[in-house]
Amino acid sequence: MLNRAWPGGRLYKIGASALALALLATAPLYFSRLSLLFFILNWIVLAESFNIFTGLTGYVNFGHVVFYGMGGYVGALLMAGALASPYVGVLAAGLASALLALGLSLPTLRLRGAYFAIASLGVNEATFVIFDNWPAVGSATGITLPVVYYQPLAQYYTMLAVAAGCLATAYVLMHSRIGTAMQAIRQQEDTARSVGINATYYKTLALIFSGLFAGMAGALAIWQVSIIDPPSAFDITISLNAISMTMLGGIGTLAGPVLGAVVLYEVGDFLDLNYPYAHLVVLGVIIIGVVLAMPRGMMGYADRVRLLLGGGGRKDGGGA
Amino acid sequence: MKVANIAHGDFVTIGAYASYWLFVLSGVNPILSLLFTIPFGFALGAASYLTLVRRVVDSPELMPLFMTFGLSTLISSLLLYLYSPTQRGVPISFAPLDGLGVILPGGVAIAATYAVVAAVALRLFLQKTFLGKAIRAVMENRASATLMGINPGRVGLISFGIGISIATSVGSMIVLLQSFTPLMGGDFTLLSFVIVVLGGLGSPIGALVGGVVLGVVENIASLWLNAAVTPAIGFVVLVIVLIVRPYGLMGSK
Amino acid sequence: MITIGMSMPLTGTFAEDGQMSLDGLQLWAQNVNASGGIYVSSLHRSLPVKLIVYDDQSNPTRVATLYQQLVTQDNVNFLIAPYASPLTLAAAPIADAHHILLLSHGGASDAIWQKNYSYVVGVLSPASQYMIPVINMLVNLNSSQPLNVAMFYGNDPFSIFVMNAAARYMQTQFPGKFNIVFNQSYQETATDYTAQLTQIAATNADVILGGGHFTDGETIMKNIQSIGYNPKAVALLVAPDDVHFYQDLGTVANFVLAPSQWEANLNYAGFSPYFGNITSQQFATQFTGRFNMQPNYEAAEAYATGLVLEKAIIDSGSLNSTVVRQQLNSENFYTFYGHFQIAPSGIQIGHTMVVVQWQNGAKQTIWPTSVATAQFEYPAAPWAGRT
Repeated sequence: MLNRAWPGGRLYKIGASALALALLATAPLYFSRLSLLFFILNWIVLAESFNIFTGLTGYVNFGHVVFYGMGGYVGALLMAGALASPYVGVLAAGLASALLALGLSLPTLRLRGAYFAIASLGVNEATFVIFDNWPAVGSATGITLPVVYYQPLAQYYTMLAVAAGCLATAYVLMHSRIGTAMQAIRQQEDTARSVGINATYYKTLALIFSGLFAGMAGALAIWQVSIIDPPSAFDITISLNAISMTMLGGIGTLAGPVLGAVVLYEVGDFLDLNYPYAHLVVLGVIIIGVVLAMPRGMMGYADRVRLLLGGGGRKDGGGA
Repeated sequence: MKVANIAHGDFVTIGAYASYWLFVLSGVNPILSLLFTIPFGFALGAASYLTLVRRVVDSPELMPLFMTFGLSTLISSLLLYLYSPTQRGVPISFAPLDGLGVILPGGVAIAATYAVVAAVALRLFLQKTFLGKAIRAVMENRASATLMGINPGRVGLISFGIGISIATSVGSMIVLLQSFTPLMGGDFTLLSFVIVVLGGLGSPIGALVGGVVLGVVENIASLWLNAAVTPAIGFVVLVIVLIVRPYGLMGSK
Repeated sequence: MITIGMSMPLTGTFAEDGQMSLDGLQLWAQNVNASGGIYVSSLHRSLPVKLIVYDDQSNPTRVATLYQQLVTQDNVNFLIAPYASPLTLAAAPIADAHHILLLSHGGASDAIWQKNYSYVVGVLSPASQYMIPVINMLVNLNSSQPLNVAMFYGNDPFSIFVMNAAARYMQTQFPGKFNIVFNQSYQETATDYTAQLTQIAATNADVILGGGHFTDGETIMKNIQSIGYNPKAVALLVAPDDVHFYQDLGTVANFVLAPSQWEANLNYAGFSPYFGNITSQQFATQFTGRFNMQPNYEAAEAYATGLVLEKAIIDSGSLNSTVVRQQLNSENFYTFYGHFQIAPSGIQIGHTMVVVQWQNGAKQTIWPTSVATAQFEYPAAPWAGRT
């Protein structure tokens, strides 16, 4: 099902991806609001990395922001202490979050369904309190980077590379045997186990990749923003946004989170400037509306259009 | 019904606002406002069940989680939109009860009494009435309960309504104890999960015990730990309990 | 047209203060434009001001994006910081990297001025100054015994900074006058502080110094009353400055102290002529007329920030940030908000804090005595006689 996420043939998809990449790579030449593109790409990575775990395995991680915050802190510590170049910082942040994912998976992935979701909320809260009271990471004050790290072009291209890497990884995961196994877990974990699929192994793998990219996104954000403190690093609104973007675009599909991130970031920006507070109301309505009316998100509609045009549609229940 | 309601705490906030406005606009004592918040909560719960929850009860677990998460966001942000993030409080205070060398804050005594009454009433309801027995039957085995002629939809409606009416009535008690904002709901959701997991799913007396245990643990911990860390204790306890007993301390699959 | 860019926390944690600050600035801009704008001598004419405002949702990440947009897209002449220290800290590196003056009206953390920024100037007293007048006032009581002080404060950078500075000040300036018997921070989202306050009551503390934000400050007072603990004085940051404090707590609010940057009944007359031709009372009346609510100090310091920028533009005759920043080093004057004078780092050293106390439902200024509207009521009356 997943390889038909985009309407049209494989050539069409490759062409579209290459065009998008070329446009983004040359953006600094003709587009001056690079920070806007930077943050859209940042959200794409956050949403897609959320999707890599939750979309593929069906386990809801409300604490996705923990990886983002962790990555932000590792990046901030390395850069503020001038211990590593920002590039190494971003990479190290990703690895640290991947390691955290591995550590968290050992206990929490034994939990099923709602219990996992609730534990993920608890992990989020506990991590916040730990960082808020940990003098080595600046406690509640957080960490501020010196002005030398103001490098818009380098930030943008690193962000673009990480986003491309994240999407490529998601593509590979979805189209390999791993992806098939994960899909089986999502639909019927007990059956999957009984036919010899090592469910814990695949769930852990998905969580590690999810953590890796969210961590890099966190470090990139701190490189750009130059300040990190516990309330902004572990803000549950970030998870909320990633969830809304993924749901709106279409959970479990490759292009869904990308689509959702672009639309929601732009809509959110517009709402913020014009109707303060309405932003969150809209996110709530989107999540409820998507669950009720289009559980497969915007990608579900793309499929339906394709079905009308005579192609084959997706047969299973989408992301659910 | 197996719906983990992420929006539970936000219904507590709704109850707090209802009691606050009843007090500010017509001087109703928050204790008396229970008479409003209990039926009001039931109506809210029933309405949410009919319009939203009912439609995801049979979906994969992912969907009710997302749904109630969206509902939580919607409630808290609507309250923000309507009432701004300003903190609110009811200027009402009670003299502490002083006896046997123990000082018990008056507001706490009232809220605790209400908690005991509510837990006992709920237990009696579940044990003694036909409806209560039906709810337990559906909880234990939805399919066979249906075979026996129980309408799981009606049971879901009533149990969700009761759950929410307890949440909103807790809001009336909260205003006796503290000031509040539209955003406090999330903390109560987490607390209620911790307590339910400690006390066992589906057991009102277990929830009472779980609540007391959590309170005692937090207070004892505050003797050694900085106050800034104590809110995390509950979640650490939650994660540990879930790891040791994935289905809760007293619950079973 | 003089364009002044800023983001404000209009939603999220700091929304209320952000809105107050924005209202203050908008009132200033309105007054400036009604009087024909600001005279810029290098251009030989008066120019109106235009505020470009975005909502940052109390989120430092958004602050960083928005300030980059203000500088690179909107090409603003000057920047005004968002309300609150963490947001100001997020805006500062961008302003500094682009050499645009950034005036801080609601970022009090001293850390803002410890980063060697050249373009960041504070109009308000920094965090380290907040509890100083309260301590001076308590010393002035001349009690024969040292006062037992419990410090209990929010776990946020601002409150921690305030209380650490307060502890240092008590120990170095008044050795032997104060015993610090309890010193802990708390999570501001907690819903109950009874456990800690019971411990504080057991230490026989005469005075509680602390607080953090709004909700926690009110809950602390409710908890203190609920356990029947009767400290002689309680001084809390932020919460008691707001009129809600009495509305929400009733008589429990009485006797509570708070440091304040400014009060509507303050009168700095006699120091020097007002700049901007507006007194505290006139400001409060205008503000109430326009926005239908009482201004608090967030509104006043934001308005005063506009006045400071106005004066520096007029005195330097320039719209160049580097020139105006240079000019601010030599400014030394009073507005209705108080004294303005900065150290070379840009930190405010002229402005001083006052102490307020709730007395019978009214917020009175009680220190320094030169501007006081009432006497310090000490010790607080027992709870039994109050309800």
